[in-house]
Amino acid sequence: MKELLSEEFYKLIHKRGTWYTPIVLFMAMLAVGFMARHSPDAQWYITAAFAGTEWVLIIMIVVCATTISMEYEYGTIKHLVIEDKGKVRIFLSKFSIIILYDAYLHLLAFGFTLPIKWLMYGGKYSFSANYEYGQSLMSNLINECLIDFLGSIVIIGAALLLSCAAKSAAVAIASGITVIFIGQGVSMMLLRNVGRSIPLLRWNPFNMLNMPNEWSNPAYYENTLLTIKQLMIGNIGYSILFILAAFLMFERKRI
Amino acid sequence: MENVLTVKHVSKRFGRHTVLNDISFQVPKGSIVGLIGPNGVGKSTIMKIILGIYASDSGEVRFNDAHSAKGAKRVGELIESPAIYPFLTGREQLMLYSHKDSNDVRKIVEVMGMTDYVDKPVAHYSLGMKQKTGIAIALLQHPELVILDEPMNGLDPMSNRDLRNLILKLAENGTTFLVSSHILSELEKMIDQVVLLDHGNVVLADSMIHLHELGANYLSLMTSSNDQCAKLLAANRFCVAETSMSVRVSLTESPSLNDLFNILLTHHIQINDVQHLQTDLEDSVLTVLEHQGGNR
Repeated sequence: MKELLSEEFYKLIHKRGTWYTPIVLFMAMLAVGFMARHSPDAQWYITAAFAGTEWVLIIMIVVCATTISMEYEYGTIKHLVIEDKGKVRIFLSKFSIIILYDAYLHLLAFGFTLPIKWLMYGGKYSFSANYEYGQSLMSNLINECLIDFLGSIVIIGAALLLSCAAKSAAVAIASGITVIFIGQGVSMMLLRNVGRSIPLLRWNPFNMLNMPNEWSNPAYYENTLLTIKQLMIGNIGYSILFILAAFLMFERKRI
Repeated sequence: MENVLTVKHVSKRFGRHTVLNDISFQVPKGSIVGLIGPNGVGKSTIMKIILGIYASDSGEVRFNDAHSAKGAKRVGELIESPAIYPFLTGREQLMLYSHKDSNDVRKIVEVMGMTDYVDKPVAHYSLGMKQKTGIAIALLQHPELVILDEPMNGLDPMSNRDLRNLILKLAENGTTFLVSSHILSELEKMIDQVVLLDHGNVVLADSMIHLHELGANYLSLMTSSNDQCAKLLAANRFCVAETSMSVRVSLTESPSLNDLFNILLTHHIQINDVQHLQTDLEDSVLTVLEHQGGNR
């Protein structure tokens, strides 16, 4: 397992994309910062890490999609299976590296927020100033990053599932981004129209993706019709379900 | 001779299609065994079963670990296409698979003649370069048994020769090879044993020496009078067949060569050319497969 983790880490750090990602993330957050410079919701943008966590999700869909499908595309899965034999260990090592990379990107989004806030607003909005939930701006930012990290696991599970089902990384990326973002829109539309009359619809997996939005803006309850606690339970449940389904598909996928 | 690998009564089905049907063969230590047969007869499947990629439906694959060298891995492999990541360089690839043993990587790069391009990204490699990288990966960490599926694919004649010499040298030092290839003329130059698969069955498992002994072995004579030559030899109990340009004399079913030349010289028949012809692997394989086809 240690050897597999080391191999996965080796592959990750040798991908050019891994080194460009922080630059892309910083530039995207900076662009959002510029656009929000004169917004009355400046504090909301700061606690939302200048939408950095949203960019992290897109990056994670790409990373998840390529991590498994590339092994089939390049035929390297044969070598992994021959060397280690256990698909459980292969899947676990990949999942562990993905989660670590996800945590690293969330940490980067948090870290980048500090200089971008200073660049956009100078000392205008103090991190110690009171904001939502009776907490400081800094606490809100930290909690937002943590909640988003928890929420990203359900997306990782879904992206891994699509990656195991797709024949190539490109298909997995495209279908991952499409399914997750269109699904979120469809879920929102359904809940707005029939969410109150059919309560079960509130528990659809796409609604769970709104957990970070509801955390940063409690009025979002009107859209999700679930409390933040219910969304957390749903996120954990769907994460486990998707990850298990992804593993079963990975195990059965013919080499 | 001790066997490194024993495949015993292995069967495998994919859905309703039986790919392997009660396959058995042995791979002796230090030998080079050729696994051959038409497309789709299950060569890659049996290799994948040996490597543990697929589980067999029945039967067993047994390795003899008694003589495994210390620090050596059991099996090295190149199955179907080289397992390489295009975003890594050849050296990074080898480092990954050698568990970062740079000494082992340096040696294999030299042996495989990859020095000129090993530090370039694999995405820029030609088919032959990728194939060489795949073979280098298979040979890393001094495996006891090396399984190569179509290793000559994409290799130029010089690389083919180098690969053959390398396999022969490694086999001399005790490494065992199971090689499949459609280029039988190349395979014939290195293998000691042949396992021929057809329709999921082993239809031939024999040593090359024995195969050559069983095959046709004849002289092709071009003389001043082929017609008279054929009649004379036939009258003296030689097994003869006359073609448009020559007379073919079977050596396995005829009296001695001395008698043959004495008869021709006594009758003043001038010998213009003599060629000693033997059945090659391709002929033997085709004969067996045709015979199998006739029996079905």
